Amino acid sequence: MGNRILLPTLAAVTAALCVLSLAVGPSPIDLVAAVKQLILGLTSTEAAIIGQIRLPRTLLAVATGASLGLAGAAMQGWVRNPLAEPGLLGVSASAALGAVIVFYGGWTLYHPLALPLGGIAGALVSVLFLYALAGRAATAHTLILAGVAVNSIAGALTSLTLSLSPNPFALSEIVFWLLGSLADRTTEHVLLMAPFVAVGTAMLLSAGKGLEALSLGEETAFTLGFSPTRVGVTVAAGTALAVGASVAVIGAVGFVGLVVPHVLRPLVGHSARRLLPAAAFGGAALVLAADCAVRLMAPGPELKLGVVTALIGAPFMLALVLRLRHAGMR
Amino acid sequence: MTLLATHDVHVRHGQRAVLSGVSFGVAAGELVGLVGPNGAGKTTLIRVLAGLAAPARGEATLEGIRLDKLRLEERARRIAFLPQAGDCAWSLSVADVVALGRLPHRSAHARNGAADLAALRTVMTECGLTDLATRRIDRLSGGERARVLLARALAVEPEILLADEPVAGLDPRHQLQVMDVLRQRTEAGQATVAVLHDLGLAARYCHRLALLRDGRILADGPPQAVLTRDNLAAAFGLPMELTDVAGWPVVVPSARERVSP
Repeated sequence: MGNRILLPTLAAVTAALCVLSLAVGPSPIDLVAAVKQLILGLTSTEAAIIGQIRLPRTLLAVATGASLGLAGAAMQGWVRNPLAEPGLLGVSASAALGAVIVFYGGWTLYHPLALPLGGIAGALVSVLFLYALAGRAATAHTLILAGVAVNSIAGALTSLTLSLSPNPFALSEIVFWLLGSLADRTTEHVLLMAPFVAVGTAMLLSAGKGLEALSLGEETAFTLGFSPTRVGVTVAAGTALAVGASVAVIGAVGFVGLVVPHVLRPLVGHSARRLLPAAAFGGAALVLAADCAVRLMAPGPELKLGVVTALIGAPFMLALVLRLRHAGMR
Repeated sequence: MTLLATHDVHVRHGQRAVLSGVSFGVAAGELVGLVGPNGAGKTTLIRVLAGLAAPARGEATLEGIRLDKLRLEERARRIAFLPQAGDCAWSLSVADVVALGRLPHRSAHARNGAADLAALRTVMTECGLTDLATRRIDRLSGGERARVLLARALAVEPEILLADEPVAGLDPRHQLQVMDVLRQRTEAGQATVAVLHDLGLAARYCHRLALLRDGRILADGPPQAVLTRDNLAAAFGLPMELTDVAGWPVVVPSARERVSP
């Protein structure tokens, strides 16, 4: 399927899911009437629910999903490995650690931007650490092992921070936040992450040609006019900004960056460049769908989004590993 | 006129000198073979010419201008590099892999223009890939894949093609096919440098050979002048003879015992 059909299809699916996300919730709402009231500036419960609860939630789902899908696709193109993914390689966990440290230090009281900046700093450190640890021509094995190491370090430091937490309420707050959820987020959260996500995704999308050249290896990419270092810096910084800011606001949502590029890759003819925009839409659609499912499923306490994506993603990952085993892991 | 050249180039890998004072050049319309034993520095020399290895001393120049003074994009448009045992990380179609050769000519998000499509059509036909266009590169045989990667390099429409062992691992028919393409491109004005191990093949196709040993150029000139008994013995440490079979040049080791080089 060419991108000329695929991208509009994915965009349409994402748009439809956005509408569904606005329509779904505990209180039944006449969506058309509520949106009208919202646009006209009328105050009503319906308009408030849409404008202050469901719209931010929908926008966050789109931003987070696009960030994670895109970052997964870009990282895979960068290290030329289908298993590279922000969650699996510990980038999300490190961003979460950054945010937890900010929470713990109470720095959000000084400035609300401390939260996304903490997430971005954590993500950036992990991406650079991974690159240094696994090297440029990392095989699947070294890369996964480096990811396990980064995940463990970030997990251990997060646990350390939590165990040192003097306040049990803050503790349970952070633990729930770590599971990843779009519930109870506000317009402020959207505004907090939006600029970073916008710059990060723009950087990742700009790396398309370089990533395409990198599919022939670093030396050939260089002789095609692309400095592998520059492509790497763009991908690392873009991932840190987009994923770091997303995770800082909604918590760690795993596997999106693994599942989405893998499903879409055959549909774009395995091209690293064509995969990027498709993965952004695909990621947004997946997170929107998962979040709608979360709200539709249980009548009791809402399932955490991160739990749902993990429940979908982990078996998927297992299937991918089995397939790579058959293909002979590189 | 010499297009791409090295001037007194020295390259070291740690303590070991890989190239010691190598001066070498290639002109438009010239097919030059780099020959010599394993570890002689052939790959390093071609990497210096491609701008992939920085000399510790000396310099590589393109029309007299130092390579590192030229923009990466300009170099990419003028010099194409075909690495040894190249591969593609993703299961791209043959047409997509070959089209990567047009990347240096395309602006940021532009699709392939008319010139790009014409270049791609020509190179696909030239390398006999038209029927394979939609096949995935990871499903091809070694010979087919080598032709695809050569076509990718030629799709750049470079002034200079640097090919590191373009016929390694290919059967005789595919070896001749690849060398024919290199020869045709060269006759059309391209400067071509190829690392070759088959001395007979090198003598048959190249206008000029540079024989390397221990990081130095032992001889540089027409094949008949380079592949002498003395030069071959000095380079390979083995008595060898350039002869011909049915009019084609062949190099054969003439004795089993080592001679001191």
